[in-house]
Amino acid sequence: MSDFLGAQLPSRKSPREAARPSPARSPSNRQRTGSPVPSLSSLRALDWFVFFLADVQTGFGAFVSVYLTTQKWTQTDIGLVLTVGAFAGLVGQIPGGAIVDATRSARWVAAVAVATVGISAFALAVAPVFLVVFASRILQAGASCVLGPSIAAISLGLVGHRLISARLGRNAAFASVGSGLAAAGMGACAYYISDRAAFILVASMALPALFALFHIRTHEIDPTNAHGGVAKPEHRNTIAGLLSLFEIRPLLIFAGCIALFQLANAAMLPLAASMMTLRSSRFATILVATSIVAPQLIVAVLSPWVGHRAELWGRRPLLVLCFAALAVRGLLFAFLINPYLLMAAQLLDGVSGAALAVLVPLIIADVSGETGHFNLAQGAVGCAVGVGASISTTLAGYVSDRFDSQTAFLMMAGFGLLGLSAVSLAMPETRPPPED
Amino acid sequence: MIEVGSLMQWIRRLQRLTVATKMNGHVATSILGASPRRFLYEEAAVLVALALLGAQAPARAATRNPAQLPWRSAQATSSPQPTAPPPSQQPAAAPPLPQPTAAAPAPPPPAAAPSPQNDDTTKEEKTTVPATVVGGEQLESVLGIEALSSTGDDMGRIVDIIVDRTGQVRAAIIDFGGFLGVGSRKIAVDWRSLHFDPKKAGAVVVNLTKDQLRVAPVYKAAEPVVMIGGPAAKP
Repeated sequence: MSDFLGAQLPSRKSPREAARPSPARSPSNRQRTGSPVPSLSSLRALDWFVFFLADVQTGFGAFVSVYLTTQKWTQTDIGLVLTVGAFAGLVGQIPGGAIVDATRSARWVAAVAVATVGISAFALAVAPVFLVVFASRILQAGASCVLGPSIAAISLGLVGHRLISARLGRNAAFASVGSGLAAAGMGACAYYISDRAAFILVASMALPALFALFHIRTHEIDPTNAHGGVAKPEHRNTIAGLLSLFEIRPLLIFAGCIALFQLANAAMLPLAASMMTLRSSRFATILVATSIVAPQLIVAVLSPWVGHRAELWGRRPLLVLCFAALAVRGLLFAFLINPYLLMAAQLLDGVSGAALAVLVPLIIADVSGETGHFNLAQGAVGCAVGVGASISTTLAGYVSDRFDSQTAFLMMAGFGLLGLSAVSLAMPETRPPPED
Repeated sequence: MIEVGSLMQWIRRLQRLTVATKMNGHVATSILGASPRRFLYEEAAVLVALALLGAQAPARAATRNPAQLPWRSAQATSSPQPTAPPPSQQPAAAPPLPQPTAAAPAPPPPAAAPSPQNDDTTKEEKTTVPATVVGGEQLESVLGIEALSSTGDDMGRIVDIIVDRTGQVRAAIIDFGGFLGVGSRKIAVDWRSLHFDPKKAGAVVVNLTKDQLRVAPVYKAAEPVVMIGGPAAKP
């Protein structure tokens, strides 16, 4: 066990592990000798946990600024709170991954994080004063940094590395259905009742999430698997572990490609939605709503397929598909005028999203599993993603002000093409060779 | 109202207490035994307290002058605006009176016309400060209120007010369109196109259609601002 908390924990077996017969594992033998068999109820519980968690997280996007406006906040204050939240979400990625790596029970970490997100959503709904909203954004950003790696860790602990691909596809499907339904539900609530009711709705989704989490049986999560199949990581503390991750070339290349993806992708939806508002007279709100919800449904349909194909075809073809969809989408946005066609082009976001939702944790598990720093690697890649996303929104805003939106879309399509060439030329195939 | 005499008594009590604790528990019966250095601190505290009391009266008078609010001229106020004093003609539901008293606990509004003689007249002569008292339910903050077209369509919410260098309100920034915060545009609308209906609180009517609003350029600070609408704008 790594001593992130400063203590040297011996790798002892807990009684439940000793009772279960387990084959001898050397550090290089990753779960080849047998896969765990989790019960169906644990798998269902994981499905619903991911679903409700995506519901809760949906409330903290751009809707926060709308809600705070109705609570008579100035734009400067809203911008400050959002920036601080984004910064906290960026800075907390690596510590979040390290925390999940350091604990033996990813379930408890996830439970604390879900409770934190639920409490911050309730606080935001009940008392939107500056200090409370500030703390709420920082807590929610920190909790989401922990939740991403811990879901992947729980999934890996439940099903092992051979079946993780299909499992991640299923996770992505449930998460996208959850966020699509939550967005639609929040929109309806905000229209018919009030913005505050929309927040309370998503805050209350934290309770079913906790309920589902505790239905996942603890003994079925193999802690060794959850950390990538290694009982003891090579490096004991976090900084050394992080530096050792930098030596893994496929991981570095992958992180660079994903950062390029976010550089192109993050600002596309807001800019395209703004164009839809500009160009459509009667149905602008419905168009924007559809362009948010419909890609989520496409992700829900495609991601199980991606999960299966990633085992059959390998990871690289699907990565190429993902980046190609992104580049095509950027070019379409640059040249289409009709807002209905813009909405149709936005559906390609579902294709990219489905591919990435499965491939990001999968490839990280592939390349970092041997080191035992799976969650730390997820945190590091998450940090790169966050950096790319924030640069993207700033740069796209500047270019669309200085020149026009078509130039901004072309620039983002250019970044997408750059990422496509990087993936085609530099990214190796990371699927482990099939067992015989 | 804390009088100056009682204040000195309190300060002397504090001095005795401070001296007593610093003399290792021996209670001093008079302050004559204290060292000159401690006296300096106590005298300094007295001076500071007096200075604060003296500074409060003109400071309170200065903050209660609402005559420079620029959008009082833009909004029609329906209630009469008496200046203080005498406040006895106010309805009973009026908020507390802005009397320039120096004391922290304000006296309750008396039934008779209050004479300002219970001010700290030992320090300055009597001053009358014009103030306006309006019932709370007749005023509203303009941030975040809904903007509707003349046909009742939702046009967004007001998120900012633009004022020129002379202090005159020129435009309101309306956050138009979008779904759950995605895809909304900030449009500057000329203040003269906004009409506040006295019967409808929490909403303002814009004299423009949705189509006129959506084709407007986005508002960017420090660039030439396009304020759509104006007194001649017709929906």
